[in-house]
Amino acid sequence: MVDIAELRQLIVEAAPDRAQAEPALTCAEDEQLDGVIPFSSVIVLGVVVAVEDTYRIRVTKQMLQSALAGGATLRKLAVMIDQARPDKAGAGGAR
Amino acid sequence: MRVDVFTRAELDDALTAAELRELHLLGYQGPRADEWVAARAAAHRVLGLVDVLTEADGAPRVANGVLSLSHDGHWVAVALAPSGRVAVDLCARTNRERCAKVLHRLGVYGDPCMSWAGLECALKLRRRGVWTLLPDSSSIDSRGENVAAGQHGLGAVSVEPRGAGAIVRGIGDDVAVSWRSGDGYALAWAHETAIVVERKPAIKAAARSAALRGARAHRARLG
Repeated sequence: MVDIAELRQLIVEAAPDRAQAEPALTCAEDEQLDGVIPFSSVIVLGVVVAVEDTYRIRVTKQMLQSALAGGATLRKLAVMIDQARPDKAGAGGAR
Repeated sequence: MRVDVFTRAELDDALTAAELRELHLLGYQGPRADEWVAARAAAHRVLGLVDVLTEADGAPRVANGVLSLSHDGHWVAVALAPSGRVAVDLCARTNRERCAKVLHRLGVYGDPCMSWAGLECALKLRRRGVWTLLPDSSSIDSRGENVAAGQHGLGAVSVEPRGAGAIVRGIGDDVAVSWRSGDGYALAWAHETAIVVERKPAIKAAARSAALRGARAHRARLG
């Protein structure tokens, strides 16, 4: 399982304004990120780029759409990453 | 259409009763709540103290006309038109490096803030999620390489400067955006008088149905 603490840090570092994103360091794993920080598109894609580089996965349209459906949470993002990791990925999940 | 940009410092935090109720229901806290309130305050400066509520996909709605809001850094932008569909996006120049990194991955070049604002505008106008910009799983091979594009990015989205704006391709039908550079930000906006009805593949139609169900449930909760 992806380290949620590491994921929290990735989100804060992807945010233009670190102070505004700091609630992501302490919010619950199932809390909607859009409710606690300005989870704008540039942060979302910044997190995607960071996740791809850190975990050596490729995030696709379908994966992100699924993770954001109903509101993105840390747990949903962690599941998305886990499912795309080489030892768990189906066709097209890993690189 | 008209487009206005306000600094947060010049906005108050007055909300209508319906907006207060929606803010409570949305459960926004801290910086996210501040941002939501600032966007409404900017809309009120243009429209007066009317209800600016939220669709299930996050787009703002008003009783008369069509509205788009964008906030970044110290600024809030408002675009308003009598009908059709409207979109505005403001990108603070302090985001330049982050935008450039993301845009490089997408294979989009040029002024990062202008290009990002143009892309966001197109997403808003077409009511598409940010995932639209990522490669489709069917275009990723077993090594994770995007076989539908070059070495970097999707390559299916482009922002082509044209006149006082750009043509954004790859997010549904082409979107013509206008843009300008402000003091510390880039601003892009677009307006279509007629809503483009797109024929969507089955997966997108299914997602749209889910979004519509969500919108109805959202309205029912607010009702």
